[in-house]
Amino acid sequence: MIHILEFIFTYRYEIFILVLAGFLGIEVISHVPSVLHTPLMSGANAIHGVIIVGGIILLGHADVSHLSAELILGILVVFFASVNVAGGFVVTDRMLEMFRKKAGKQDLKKSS
Amino acid sequence: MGPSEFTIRLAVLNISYLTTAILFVIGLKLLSKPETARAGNRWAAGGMILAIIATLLLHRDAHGDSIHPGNVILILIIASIGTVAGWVIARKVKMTAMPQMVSFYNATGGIASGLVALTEYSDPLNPSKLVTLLGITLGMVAFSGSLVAYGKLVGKISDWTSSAMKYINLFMLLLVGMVIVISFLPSTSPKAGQILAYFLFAVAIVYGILFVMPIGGADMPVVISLLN
Repeated sequence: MIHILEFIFTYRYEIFILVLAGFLGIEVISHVPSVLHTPLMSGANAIHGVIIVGGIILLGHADVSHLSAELILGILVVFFASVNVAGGFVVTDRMLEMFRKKAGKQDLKKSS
Repeated sequence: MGPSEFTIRLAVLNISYLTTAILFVIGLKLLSKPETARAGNRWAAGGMILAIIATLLLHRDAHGDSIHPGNVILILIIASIGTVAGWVIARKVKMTAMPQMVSFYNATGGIASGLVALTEYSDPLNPSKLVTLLGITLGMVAFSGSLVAYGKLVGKISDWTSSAMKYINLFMLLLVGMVIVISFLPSTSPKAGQILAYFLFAVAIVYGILFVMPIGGADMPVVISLLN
């Protein structure tokens, strides 16, 4: 029990952020028209690719003079994460392209 | 991130991360309206680029070393290969194949976070084992689950339902929980902890597969969303 309390105390700021971010996520995502659910899911998936930053940090400080597990894993992470990021945003953009054609005039006014 | 001394470099780095987070939230908010959705996607992409550049230029490790120029080049090469691959696939794929695509990207994101967590685990300075272990589990479940979802959407994997599935999944979940608890026992040596982390890695992959297996094709978007 004391360990759990200690854990909560040590990470109190992180827990704050986590909880508030949870509410923020619900707030932002709710009231979305159902036609937009798919692009939104895809966009959120692309944002998850931010793990690429972790990969960059990992690979950035890896020793490149010889092959190590860190190096190989770092390369894999950066590769997969960049596929995730680029693919995610491009796919989302393509989905939204279709809306644009359908929406027509009303859309052209607002986007530029 | 632990307490670290103030430097202008660190301040700029953290402000960049904060800006990125704000851009992501604005992006998601804009994505929720049809008229602004496309702009929202661009905002989020901009935030991503900012985070990547800031990390490359400004990040320092625990010893205060910045990222070596050689490593920066290596990172840029690999990231551009990945970017081109992701971009080309995303452009070429048919519009009707979109759900599969998203599922596939989800898998790549999952394996990336799983691998980051796995390497962090071997770092003795790692502040929180629990978060790392959860990272391994969630990342790998997302990876294998998304791949199975992908296979089902393409039609290569058929549903495999059995009444025993419920119990098998429950068992897998318990197994994951058990491994995490064991690695926290004081009697577990770092060496054994290492092996347990790899074990968890494998268990999480299997769990992801089993979890998605019995679910029908129509429910797939929900599953992808959840794994996200």
